[in-house]
Amino acid sequence: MKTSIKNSKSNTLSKWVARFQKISILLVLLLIIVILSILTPAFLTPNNIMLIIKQSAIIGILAVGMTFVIITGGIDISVGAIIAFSGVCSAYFSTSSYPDMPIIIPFMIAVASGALVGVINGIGIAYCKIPNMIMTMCTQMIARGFALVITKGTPIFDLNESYKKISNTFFFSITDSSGEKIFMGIPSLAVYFLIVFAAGAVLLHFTVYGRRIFSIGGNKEAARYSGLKVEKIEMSAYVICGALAGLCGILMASRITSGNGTTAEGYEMNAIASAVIGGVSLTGGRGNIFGSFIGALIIGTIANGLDVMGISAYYKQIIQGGIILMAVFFDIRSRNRKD
Amino acid sequence: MRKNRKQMAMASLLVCGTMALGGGILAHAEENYKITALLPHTNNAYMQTLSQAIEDAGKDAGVEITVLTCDNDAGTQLSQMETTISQGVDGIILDPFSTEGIIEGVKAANEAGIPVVTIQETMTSGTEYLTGAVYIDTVKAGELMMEQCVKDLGGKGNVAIMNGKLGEPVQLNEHEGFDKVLAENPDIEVVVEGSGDWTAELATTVAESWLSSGKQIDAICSNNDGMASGIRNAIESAGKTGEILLYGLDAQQDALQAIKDGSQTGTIYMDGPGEAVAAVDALKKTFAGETLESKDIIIDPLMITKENVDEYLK
Repeated sequence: MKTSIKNSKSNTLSKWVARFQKISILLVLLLIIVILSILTPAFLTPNNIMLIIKQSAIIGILAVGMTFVIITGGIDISVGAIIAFSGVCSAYFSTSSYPDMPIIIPFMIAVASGALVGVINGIGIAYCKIPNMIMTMCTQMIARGFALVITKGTPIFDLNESYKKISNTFFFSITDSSGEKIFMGIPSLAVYFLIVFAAGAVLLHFTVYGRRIFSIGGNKEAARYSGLKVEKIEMSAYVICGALAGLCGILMASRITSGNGTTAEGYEMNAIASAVIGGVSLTGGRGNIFGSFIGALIIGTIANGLDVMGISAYYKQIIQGGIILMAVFFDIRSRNRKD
Repeated sequence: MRKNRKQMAMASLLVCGTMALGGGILAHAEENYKITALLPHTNNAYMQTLSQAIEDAGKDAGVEITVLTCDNDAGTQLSQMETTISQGVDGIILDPFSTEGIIEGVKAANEAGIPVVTIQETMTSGTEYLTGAVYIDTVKAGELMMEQCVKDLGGKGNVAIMNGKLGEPVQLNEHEGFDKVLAENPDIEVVVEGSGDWTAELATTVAESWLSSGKQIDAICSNNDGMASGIRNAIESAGKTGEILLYGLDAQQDALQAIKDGSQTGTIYMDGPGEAVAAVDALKKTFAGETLESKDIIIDPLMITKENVDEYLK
């Protein structure tokens, strides 16, 4: 299954289609949905489905970036801290003291600050050959530290209205005659999620750049001999991952209406889990964005479903761990057979 | 294909099994009113007591209580809030992990006509969306602790402060209380400050470093008893039990025992169960169509020292 640079464009396309059909993980998601809706009738409602997509959006966007990094054979555990850092940076200039700040500015600040951490990660890993886990662990601590220094430990709140609207807007909501909302509408977070997913899928699976990402993950030396600038490509994956985490930063800060230095701890693990559930190989060279997309939805669906059922936190962890393990096991078994 | 089907069956069995486990836990009596309590975590004795107290208070009041915890993550708590609202509960008891972070959720509950009563923490803004706010005055708790410390030291000495997670409202409030008292007592010097992130493990490490630094420390004020228990160990290892005064907060049983034994000097009783009862009570009044006398339902903290420890020690 390892994609090599020899593949022609059409070949990649057909492989992508073939892979798409083979995705067993989608069945797992459907199975989980079916079971949850049998257990609680309140689960499968249009509003709750919208909630699940909304609640999966931030992890999902992280998972898209993480997929690029993992396919190159790397890992990035700094993304949770980047969310805090870039959220704080963008919130800093979006308090009500700056009521007329064009909304594009905090977006650019967030993405740029995330990308900056990504550049540092990339230089450290690709050029200085620092082990990826160590490098991103260090930037994780540094980014989180900066987030706390900037806020002096106290969250930045009092954000301006346009900033608050970024993650708290709904489109096409339906209200009945008595003024009660019967359909909450499509959450803006879901829209960002779908855009990032689509853009990520095109970039990774339908461009030359995407094929290079696969080839350095498949075999770095072979890629180098065939003339690819391996370091540059490897670094670019971390920049993409960082920039997307930066985007999540502003989405998170807007969602929780505050720039909070302590937010999103441990989100990197959920992003990695989403990608791995979706069939991205931790050894690199294999995987696809669609799988990661479904992986994030699986994690979001389980969390939502268990909350709907009101399951206590202790059992929740056991069940979440069990289901993720089952999903990965199922996926790996079916993949091994195909190989 | 046959093998595939077998695996499919196995997978569904696994899922069903784990879900059934969940379903079993769920099976409890149908009551008239449903209240969901959202807590940041139940990882320490204080929060476990609180969670239990909420369930007990609900049982006594004849309402169905569901407790959800968010693992100390503002985003997760917001998700749980949204989910709870869309499930159409009658009332929400909220211990906000991030007081700013939950505003959108409280607003949404308000729009959906679901009353929200906060416990422990209060909202910094958006209080207009709340039905009630039950809290123990944590600034006052900080003041009480530092006043006791100043009194025990005779108005002069070196104090170390072990903070909880920096930036969290309780930590900031307690510190505000400390600062108020410290401003009036210039002979008390804060020689060192650190954070044990509310946990005994980290507090032990931090306190060990303090004690080996050679700095003269006469008293340590800890933001909670969990961390104080770690500091106790560090003091004991350094052979300074009794020499260094130690104050905590929460009145955990181990801390009370330590006060009796003399390895801790004082703690502060935070009436968590009292908060739970007050919150359920406030919601029940709201269900009955009554309006609360005041949105703020304040419960006072109490200082515990060797003199009155027996009243609280079980």
